This record gives sequence, structure tokens and C-alpha cells, in this order.
Amino acid sequence: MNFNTIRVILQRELRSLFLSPIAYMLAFFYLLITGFTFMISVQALNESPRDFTVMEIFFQNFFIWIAQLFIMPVLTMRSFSEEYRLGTFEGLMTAPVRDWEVVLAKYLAVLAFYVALWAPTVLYQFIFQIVAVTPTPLSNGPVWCNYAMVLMMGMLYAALGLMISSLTHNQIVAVLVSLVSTCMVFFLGLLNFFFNPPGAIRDVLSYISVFEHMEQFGQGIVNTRALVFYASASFMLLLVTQKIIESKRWRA
Amino acid sequence: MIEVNNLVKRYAGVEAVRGISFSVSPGEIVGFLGPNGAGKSSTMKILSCFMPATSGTAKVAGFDTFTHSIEVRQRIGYMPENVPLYTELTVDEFLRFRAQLKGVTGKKIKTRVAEVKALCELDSVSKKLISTLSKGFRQRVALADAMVHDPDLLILDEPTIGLDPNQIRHVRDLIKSLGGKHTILLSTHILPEVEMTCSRVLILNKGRIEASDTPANLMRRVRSGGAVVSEFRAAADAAEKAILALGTVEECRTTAHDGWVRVEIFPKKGEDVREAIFHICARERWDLRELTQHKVTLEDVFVEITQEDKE
Repeated sequence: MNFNTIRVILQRELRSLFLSPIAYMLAFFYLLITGFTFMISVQALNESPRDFTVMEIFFQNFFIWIAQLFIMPVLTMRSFSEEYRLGTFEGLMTAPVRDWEVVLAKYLAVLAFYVALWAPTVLYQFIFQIVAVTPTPLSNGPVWCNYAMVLMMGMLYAALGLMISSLTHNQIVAVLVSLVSTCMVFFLGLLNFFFNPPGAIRDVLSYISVFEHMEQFGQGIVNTRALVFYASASFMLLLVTQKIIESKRWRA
Repeated sequence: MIEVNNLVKRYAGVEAVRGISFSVSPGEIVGFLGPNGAGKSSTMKILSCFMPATSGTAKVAGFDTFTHSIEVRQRIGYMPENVPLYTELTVDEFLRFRAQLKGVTGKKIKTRVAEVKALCELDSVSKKLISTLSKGFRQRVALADAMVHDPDLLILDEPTIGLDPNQIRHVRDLIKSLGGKHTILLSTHILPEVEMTCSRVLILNKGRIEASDTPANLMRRVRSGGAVVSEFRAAADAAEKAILALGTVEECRTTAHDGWVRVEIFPKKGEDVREAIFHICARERWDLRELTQHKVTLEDVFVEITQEDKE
């Protein structure tokens, strides 16, 4: 493994990302949505006493989930599609780089940006401490569990988006198909709430339910089955991505 | 430096390269010619490890392009046909990125980037975004990219397309100066360029190698070699009769106008008929106003080899 290659490609990806207006637009809307969500979480606590902490309300909020569904398709749509369209893929793949180094570098670049988007929200709980009239204890464990969950969800959606981007040279197609796929993964997990499927199906749906995982992690329960699911699913999608770019060249 | 053996590339239903074999020794500058669709780019893409061959092998510096592709890629500088560049970067940023990607490290990054910028005359645009550059500059950025890690072998797919005559001359001189130290395989449609730079020419047609020789030897092979055009005041049939009587002429075409006759003479191989024509005119007292031997160019070779079956 050549870490230098990964670092160089990663830097290039991030530079291009930050040189495009998309990055700033995304950051703007993301902070707007998370900030707004935090505000209504605080308001909810102001209205009446609740059984939840402010961060629990924050992470369970509808707006956060919708933003989560959109973010990765937009971040990953350029990854490979743009390289195919501009032809820079040819230049990239004729440099001494291995396929999976390219895949991994692009994946890490997207994740790094995602982490940067979430980073400011860490401050929210401290802000809450300051503005709260009565001192409130920090529930560190569950909050960090929530963030771990946010990261894992990002890992899965990023791998999915990357794979779809590797299939087409059209960014619009990439972003739309990614969005549909991400929504499908998300809403499959919600089916249990709407229907009452028989045992086995229910178990499978619950195993992949992002929503249920978030609930558990929000209570500070580290569900190792969920960890295995996100890690293995992401890994598998990245492996498929590598195979796709390999086959692109076979058929080139 | 390059060893190609029975290389075949088949795309869905189309055979682009049909079992070609050739080799290039270190230091050679080889011109890769052929009509569009002859399989030049496909061969170059296989050599640069962008895509695998359907069958056959290609080796660069002893490494197989398929099984040891990283080793091969470290040793080649490839300039693709459509000059793909990251347009959101500046020239400096782009070249730095490419140098690092190709394994140039430490202080050498800076010196190599400066060197190739100087070679390709890019200093004036170092800080400019690639998206704002003209076609000619982009072309040279891609060339600088190909050379940035000082590769043993340069594979250039139409490096001078889209350049103005001055730039073409500059790139030609650059390529010439790189020969000896580097091995170069270049494809182009600008044939005078090949005549001037290449020590050897490979002509591809329909996926096969039709000729492989020095430009000079190839030009000697051409049928129209030694053809003479002459114009003098005479009757067409009298002129033709006199010329054919020489016995060294294979074919003679005449066109008459305003009392002058224009003759195209195709002598037998190796014969020079110019002197004889002059003597005929002197003897018959025909006024002579033109006598030129057609200078064979690589273009004639190219046309003859790649159009044979149309005739």
C-alpha cells in the first residue's frame, strides 16, 4: 500500500472540492439546517420538561435525516463521473497508482469533507450549557455515540454514492441515482414502523434500519451488530467500486 | 524499450488492433502513423497500461504492461489524445500534483516542475488556472505533465494537434532534443513533422502494421518516386511518342493547352529522365518552360500504403 499516493489524490480531491462553489453551498445549508434544528430542540425543552436531552432531540429530528439523505449523493456525484467526462481518468490511471488506492483516496476525501461539515455542531452542546439557566449535566457518552453513528451512516452513504458515480460519466445521473438508492436504504429500515412484517423480514429490516440504530446509539447503546453492518457494507461497496473502474478500462 | 508481440485489441464486435508486433530500442524516436481508426490510440493505450489487450503481450523496459503495470507506469510519460487536465487547478498546482502522483518526492518536485515548465515555455502561465488557458497552452501543459517524472519512454498521442505553426516547430525541436536520452513513440497526422523528427516510422492501417522503416527508405519505395513534370511547346502526340521512345519511361500522360503540352512522366524504377527530356526538347527545338522532378514526401508514402485497396 502506498500511503503517499493516497495522500496526494486525497489532497487533490479536497482542493477541487473546496475550489468549487458546491462545497460552500453545502456547508451553508448544512449549518443552516443543523443550527435551525438545534434551535427548535432547545425550544422544545423550553415548552415543557422532557425525558430526552437536547442532543437526543437534535439527532432524532426530521430535518437532520433529510439533510443526511441529500448530502452524500451531492458530495460523491463528481468523484468518478467528472473524471470520466473530462477524460482525466485516463491520466489518473496511467500514473503509477493502483485502482483501490484511487477508490480509497476519493472515499476518504468525501468523508473528510463530511466530518468538516459536522464538526461545528459539536459546539452546540457547549453553547447549550452556557445559555441554559439551570446547570445541565453533559451526557457525553450518548452524544459521542450519536456522532459515531453519524460517521458510520456517512461511511455507508459515501460508499454507495461513490459506487454509483463510478458507473456513469453523467453527474446528474449519478446524483439522482445515488439519492434514490440512499433513500431506499433509509426507508427500507422504516418499513417496520408502518407495517408489521413477519418475524424474519422484520429482523432483516431492523438489522439495516439506520433509524433504529440511531435510536440505540442515542441512548448510549453501542450495538456491535450495527457496527459490523456499516463497516462490512461500506467495504463491500468500495470493493464493487474498484471492480467497476477496473472493468471500465477493460471495455474502454 | 518496447516489445510488442501479436497484440490484439477487440472492442465489442470491432477488431481495432489485429495482431501487431514491433519493437523499439532505447533512444529511438518512432513515428506512429495511420489513418484515423487504424489502431494507433488503442495500441498506445495498451502500452500506457490504461487498458489491457485482448490477446498478445506488450512489454516496456522488460515489464509486462498487464502483469507489472505499476513498474511500467513508473517508466512512461503518456500524453493522451484529448489532453485531459483538471481545469480548476493552476498550472503549478497541476504539475505539482502530477509529479507527486508519479512518485517524485521532496526537493525534486520543485526542480522537476521548474524544468518542464521551462522546456515547454509555460513560465508565463504558472499561476493561471488551466480553465483560462488556450488550446496551445493546454497542449503544452499536458506535454510537461508527461515529462515531469523524467520517464524513460514518452508516449505522445498527437502532441501537436491544435498548435500554431510556431508552437509546432517548438514542440518538434523539443521532441528532437529529447531523443537519445529518452525513447519516444509519437503519433501524428502532420507528416513533415515525422520526416524531420523520427528515426523510424511505423505505418498502421486497419489494425495491422503495413510498414516499418526509416523515413528515407520508405520514400524510396514509393511508386511516384522520380516522377517528372514538364511543359513545352509541342503537339501532344508528338511529345508522347518522343518520350516513350526513350525506353526508360513506364507511363506518360499529356495534356495540351494553348499550344503548350504538359507531360507527367513516370520513369522506370531508379531512372532519372530529366536530362533526356531536355535533350529531346533541344533536338526538336521545342521551347521548354518547366522541368521538375516530383519530390517524394512521407505523405505520398502514407497515401500509397493506406489507400492501396481503394485503387
